[in-house]
Amino acid sequence: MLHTHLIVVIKGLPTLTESRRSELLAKVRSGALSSDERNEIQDAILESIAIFEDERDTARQLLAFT
Amino acid sequence: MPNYKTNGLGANSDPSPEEILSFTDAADDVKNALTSEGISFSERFQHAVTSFRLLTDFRVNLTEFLHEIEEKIDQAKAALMEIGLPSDAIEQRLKTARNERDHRLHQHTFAHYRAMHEGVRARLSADEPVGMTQDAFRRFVLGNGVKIHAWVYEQFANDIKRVIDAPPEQADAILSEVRDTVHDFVIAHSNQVPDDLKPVTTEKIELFFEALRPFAGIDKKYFIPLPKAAVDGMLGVMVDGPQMQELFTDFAKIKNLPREASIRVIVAGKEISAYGSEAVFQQVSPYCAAPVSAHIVMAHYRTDNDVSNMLTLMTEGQCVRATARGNNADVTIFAQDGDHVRIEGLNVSEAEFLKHPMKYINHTFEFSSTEDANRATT
Repeated sequence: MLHTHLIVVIKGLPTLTESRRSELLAKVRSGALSSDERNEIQDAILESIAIFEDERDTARQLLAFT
Repeated sequence: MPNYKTNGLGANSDPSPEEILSFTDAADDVKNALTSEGISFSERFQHAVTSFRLLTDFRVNLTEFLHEIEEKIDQAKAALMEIGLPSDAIEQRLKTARNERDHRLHQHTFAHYRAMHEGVRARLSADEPVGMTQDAFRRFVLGNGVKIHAWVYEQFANDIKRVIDAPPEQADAILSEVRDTVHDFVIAHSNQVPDDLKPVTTEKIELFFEALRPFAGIDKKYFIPLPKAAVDGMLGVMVDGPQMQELFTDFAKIKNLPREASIRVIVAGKEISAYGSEAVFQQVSPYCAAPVSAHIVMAHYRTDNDVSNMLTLMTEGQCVRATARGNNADVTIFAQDGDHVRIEGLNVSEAEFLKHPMKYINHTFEFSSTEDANRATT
């Protein structure tokens, strides 16, 4: 299965270290992702979305403010 | 955050006066600039052009940033589906992630305001200058991105001013009175609270007043330009070389920059490019408006390289307070002479830590002075 979005997103996950991102990327590409690793990625992406949403809200506020 | 380029609208040719005046959002600034007294018309016009460009560029870049971040969110959701999370489960778990983040930010912010309060009071009793102007406080609040703060500030601006302007002996009483006013308003007129701020909890209102408390009734003699050490502490990595670093260790130099100066710095993990001394002042100062004794700047998701550089650029007497990855235990990294640091709270060598700092600490941390860090741990 192609993981186009997943690979791009993992590369940019701010809450994981670079080495951890590389390890997980290799697992995704080889299809050898364990259940724990799958959960780890899901948690990291969800946390990132929460961060992005905060930034988006701040930007909207600033736009309204200016 | 966006890269505040200054080569947007009007980069190759100055806008005409008609264009300037037709831009409604900039109209007030432009009008003020054009009608200022005591400077020549050409200078006034130049000022108007600069205001127009800055405002336009800021909005253009902010809009671009909004599009980018919305794309990132969509892409992240698509990635979750690729990894087997159905869309209804995504929304459910996102709700939990948002709550957890909100909770962590609250805890962190609350602790920060407490420390700031203690720091300000300590300096007041030592007759050391601290504090910020009302305008700086406003930017500080907005800059923190705490929506409820911005809303309370906007809605109760006159009441907040009463708190800040209060005679010191009445400050606490006036602050309590205003806090009750806000509470009562929120309870009685909850339909006037914007939907995206609901629920406005007591805790959130308390948080705002914790932020305000250090500035209640501060003697005006303490309203000074931003403290030098705060500027030292806010520095992350100076991307334009050592001369820029020297420039930003003295805030007065920022204000004396040539009007045409172009600056690019990384502050709190965000790149800021600004054109002209006024723009630098406007964009950088919110990050160092807090009194030096407490939290100076929060930074998040820097790269290993950025963090290592930052730690080795710090001077003795400064430190970074963070939490350990995994167990969230307190970690303090003290700057030492030269390129060395001393780490408390982690069982890792200095060399390994400096190589991969983000492997060991969470991505949000704050600068502090060694003195304050020691005070906090005793």
